[in-house]
Amino acid sequence: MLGGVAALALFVGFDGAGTDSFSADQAVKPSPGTTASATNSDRNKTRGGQSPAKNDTLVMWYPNDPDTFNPLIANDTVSKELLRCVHEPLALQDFSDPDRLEPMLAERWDFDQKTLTFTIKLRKGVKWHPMTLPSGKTLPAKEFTAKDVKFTFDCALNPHIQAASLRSYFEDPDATDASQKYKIKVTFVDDYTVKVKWTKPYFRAEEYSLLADRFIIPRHVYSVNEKGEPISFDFSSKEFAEGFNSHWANRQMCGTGPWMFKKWDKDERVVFERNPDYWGPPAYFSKVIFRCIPNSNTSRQMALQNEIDWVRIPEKNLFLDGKDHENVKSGKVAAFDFDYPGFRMVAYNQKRDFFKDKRVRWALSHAIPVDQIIDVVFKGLAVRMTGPLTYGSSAYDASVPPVPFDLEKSAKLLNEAGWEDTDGNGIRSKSINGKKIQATFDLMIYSDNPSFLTVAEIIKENCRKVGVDVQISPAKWGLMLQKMRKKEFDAVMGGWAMDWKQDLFQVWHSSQADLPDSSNAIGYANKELDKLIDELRVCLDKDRQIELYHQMHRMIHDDQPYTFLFTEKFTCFGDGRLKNVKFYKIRPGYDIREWYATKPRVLAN
Amino acid sequence: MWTYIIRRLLLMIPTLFGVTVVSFCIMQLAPGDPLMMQLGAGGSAGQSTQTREAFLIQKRDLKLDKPLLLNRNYFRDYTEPVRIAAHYLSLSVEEIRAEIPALAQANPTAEDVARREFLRSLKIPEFDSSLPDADQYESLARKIQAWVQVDCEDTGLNGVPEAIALLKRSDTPLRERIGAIRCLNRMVIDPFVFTYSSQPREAETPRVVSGWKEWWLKNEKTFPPLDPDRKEILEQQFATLVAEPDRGVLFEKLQEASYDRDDLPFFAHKLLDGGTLPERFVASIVLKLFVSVPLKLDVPLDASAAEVADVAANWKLHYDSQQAEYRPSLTTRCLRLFTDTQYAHMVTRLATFNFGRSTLATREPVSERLWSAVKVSAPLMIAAQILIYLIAVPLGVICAVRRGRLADNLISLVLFMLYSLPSFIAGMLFLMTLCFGKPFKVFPAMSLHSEGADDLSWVPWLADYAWHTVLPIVCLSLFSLAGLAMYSRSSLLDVISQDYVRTARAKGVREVFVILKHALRNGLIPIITLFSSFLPAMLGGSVLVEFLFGIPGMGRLSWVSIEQKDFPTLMALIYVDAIVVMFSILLSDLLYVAADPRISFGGKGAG
Repeated sequence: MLGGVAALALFVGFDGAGTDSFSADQAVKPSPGTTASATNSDRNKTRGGQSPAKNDTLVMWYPNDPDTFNPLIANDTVSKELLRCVHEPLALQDFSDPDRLEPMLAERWDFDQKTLTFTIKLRKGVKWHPMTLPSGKTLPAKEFTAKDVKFTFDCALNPHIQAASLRSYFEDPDATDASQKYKIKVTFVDDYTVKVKWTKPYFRAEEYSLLADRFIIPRHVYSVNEKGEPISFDFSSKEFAEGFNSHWANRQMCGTGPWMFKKWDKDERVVFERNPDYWGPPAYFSKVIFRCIPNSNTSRQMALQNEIDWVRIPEKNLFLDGKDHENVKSGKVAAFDFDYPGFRMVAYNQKRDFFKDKRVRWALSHAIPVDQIIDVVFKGLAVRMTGPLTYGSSAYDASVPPVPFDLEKSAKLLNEAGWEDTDGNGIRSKSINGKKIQATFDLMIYSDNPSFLTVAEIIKENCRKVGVDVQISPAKWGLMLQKMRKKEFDAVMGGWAMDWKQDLFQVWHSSQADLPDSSNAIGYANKELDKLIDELRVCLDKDRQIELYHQMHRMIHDDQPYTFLFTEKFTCFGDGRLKNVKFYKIRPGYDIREWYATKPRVLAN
Repeated sequence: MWTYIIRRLLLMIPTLFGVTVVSFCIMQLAPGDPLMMQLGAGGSAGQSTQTREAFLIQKRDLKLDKPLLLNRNYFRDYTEPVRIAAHYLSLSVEEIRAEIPALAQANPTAEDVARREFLRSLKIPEFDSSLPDADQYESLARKIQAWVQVDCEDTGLNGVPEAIALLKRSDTPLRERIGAIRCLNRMVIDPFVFTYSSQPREAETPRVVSGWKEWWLKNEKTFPPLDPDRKEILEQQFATLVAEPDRGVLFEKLQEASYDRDDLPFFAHKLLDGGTLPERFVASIVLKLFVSVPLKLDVPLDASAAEVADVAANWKLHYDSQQAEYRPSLTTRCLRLFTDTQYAHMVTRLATFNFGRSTLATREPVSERLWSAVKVSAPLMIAAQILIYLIAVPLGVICAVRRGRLADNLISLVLFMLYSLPSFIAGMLFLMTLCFGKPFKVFPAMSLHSEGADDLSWVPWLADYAWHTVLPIVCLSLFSLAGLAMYSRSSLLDVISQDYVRTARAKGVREVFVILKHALRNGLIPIITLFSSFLPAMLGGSVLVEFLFGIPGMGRLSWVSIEQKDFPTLMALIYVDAIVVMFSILLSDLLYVAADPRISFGGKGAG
């Protein structure tokens, strides 16, 4: 925890001028007229301020193979962490101050409020990594230009390409017919200038115009098939999309970043090598290997014995147990814990009679001892949350008090709501429309994570004390998804992963409650909240955005459609040789570009 | 013998059929499908219009929209459903809301009854309970809109003729026409194709040309006449483009070509006025680069009559050009009853050994995934099997010979312990004692190679591989080793007490020869049966051992495919496994005959 807070505090004074135009850091900004070659001393220092290591391999860990390396299609955390080594967006969310964007492939950009247009100037002299086609033909290092940017947007907007989650940010929800479905238009101006015009204001327009959460893809790679021939001459065609979805480069990477992709041994490892021609501060590690270790016991032991540099330990007891290892005590291995954007909750299906009354939901929240759960199950390695926004971000209203654990209050609220134990069986009941209904519900939990069951049992025990009977039903992921989509559940314990900025529309807007398969699985509808969500979507004023966020936070808290539990800390073991390991509030929580090592790991050759 | 083999081979066909039916049904019964897993994992289960469209496209690509075993859709009458759907899609949420009371009233008109029954058939959640409750109307109206759209999507191409008929009828009111157009937009994705595929074929010409022809008719007047000088330049450029033999170069040239909108008539003429295929190909691409949406296919709710007529004409054009597709003959329809189903599509893929692509986001060919996993598992399994036979048979012989003595008792005890020790427990014990450094660290904890092993020459590489595979192989062999040893012990014991062995002994043959030459040869016959488990095991791998030691083999592949609901990979795995099992059973039968002259294929006329 200390690590995380300290790292943020250090960067509070960082320049974060909230204007609409940013320019690159002096250190990496190419001087005008020349290609990317600033002063020598700057060019040779890594982000951590070191000289790059001659031969040092960083060995990272991942639990399961990523879905794909196609930067537009990949949407899971593993592939994103891997892609980040090689691929770059136009601008990246600044790790130390996620409210601003750090220029990457874009040198600067301007926003015209009147026309809602971003004019993006691209960095010159950036080269794509060289690539080899499956046929053996090589694609030489080509320069990155506005054609690649245009191509990336063209692909993202082809409905047949599996990039729906990205596309939904460009979609106009009020479109009256199919011809107006996208609210952006991307124009190629010249090789180093692109214009992104929005037909409507959108509060995350800047992020998505610069693809801050995604990456730019090379046109010369993704437009050709295995033999190097064009997939299709028409990027909006179905033929092109089919070639793109099953593209040979889905299992490789070709980016502009500090490391170059070397190979992916499926279910074993992904290997990166330093890019000698990187435009920015060079990478410290000459090689990065991500190893796939599905057995968490093995991965922990390997980290404790310095065989790998970094591993995450999801089970808190294993983490604490590992902290007593001699290598941790002697400093050969370091134990870290840090905040991670996401939260866990118990969500109540609002269509069920029992949960319709707000007082019942408050009563249940009062009956769940969140602090005890954090202490007992998570050994203090979790932080209590009160709303659906990223903990620690400006959107999160820290002044909202957590619901205290208070069984008396809970019982009182249930009484007020008319739920009383009339037949002496210890379970409350109430007649609704002439039908007697028992205060009992099914709590669906994910069966493959033992901590969920422990938490559910604590909830069951305490609810029983206030006369509410909870049945725990563990389910596999597939079954859980199916039941949630069909809204066939009473209550579910689950979690949401979060971005820095949230658009609450998908999960909380009432219009989503009535759609089949929606993320608003609990069927939550609140007209007042809808108004705030709609206003936020078109609000470009950053102060007003925060105000709206705080109002929404309080409104949702007041309704308690979920009992917000906590945000779990990530717990990791890192090799003691790693230095400059700082933690940030956005995924993945750390930035390997700035790490360096006191002693190199040289792999036997 | 051949009759026997042929008979067995023929029997495989119904068996395989049974295997595929059973596994297909189990897969369908398990909750979740590949799409749901993918969208759910990305947190994008929520469906905005975009994700909805993507969902639909993928669903159709994977043929998940087809019925499971019997496709009756070609015989259904969609007139009523499409008419009512068109009605609802032509209304805004507020208008639908205003109509709900009519549905709920006590004496509904025939039309209201029809609508209510239609909506009921859509299985809208809480439909009946919301009808009497005015507070629910707005929510219900939104649900009606959403579920009618889903219904149109599910109806798909089958409903197109009815929707077109609605447009063609002269008495259809304007709003219903709008609704019909909106229905069509849900049913058909990409009705027109405006460019050739990258390897153009003459057969594509009618489709490409018909769309552009319509566009040209509508837009011809908006273009100024082409300047003759300009035309000359274009003519030259066009000639070089068409003559370009390298497709990559042509692609770059087209992407970089600088044309003006006023040049489009030139290309329209090149495309529409006949010409060679390459000419049409190039012309269609240039046109598409400029005109991204040549024909309008959707209309807003408040569209004017002229606008609707224009869009309706486009749809009719599409329908007329695809007549054969939309109005299949009776025989085709009867055929499709069985062939256009999820099961039939899957069986076709399996029977032709063209397993298709995995549903994972990489969309890799299934055969590649299988092959790379076999390459990992097979050597391990072969090594394990060799180890088993090398150790188990001698152990069994020793036990049989020393029956009842200390050696027999001790070995049997140990074998029984091994037999009752599951391989994953053994694996975990090995990991904890031999790999994690407490107390020993003799073997690597995971993977088949050290980091950087690729750069080694083959001798150290092999040594590295052997070092990594010791524990997995031992784990894989322990269980079968114990079983096989006990089996060979008992079968040898049967033989040892037989008369001919006693005779051999009486002849004065040395004991070693008695056992190895006379007894063992006959005693091994039952063990040959076990050989049939050899090949399937090689393919099957071991889920748990592979998980423990981080080996990307067949076991891991099956596990991952199940978790991800990767149906194509899973079906291919089951299918290949079934075939291999059947062949190895046949093989062990043949070995039986070869090893034991007393056994023959016995049938009348066979032998």
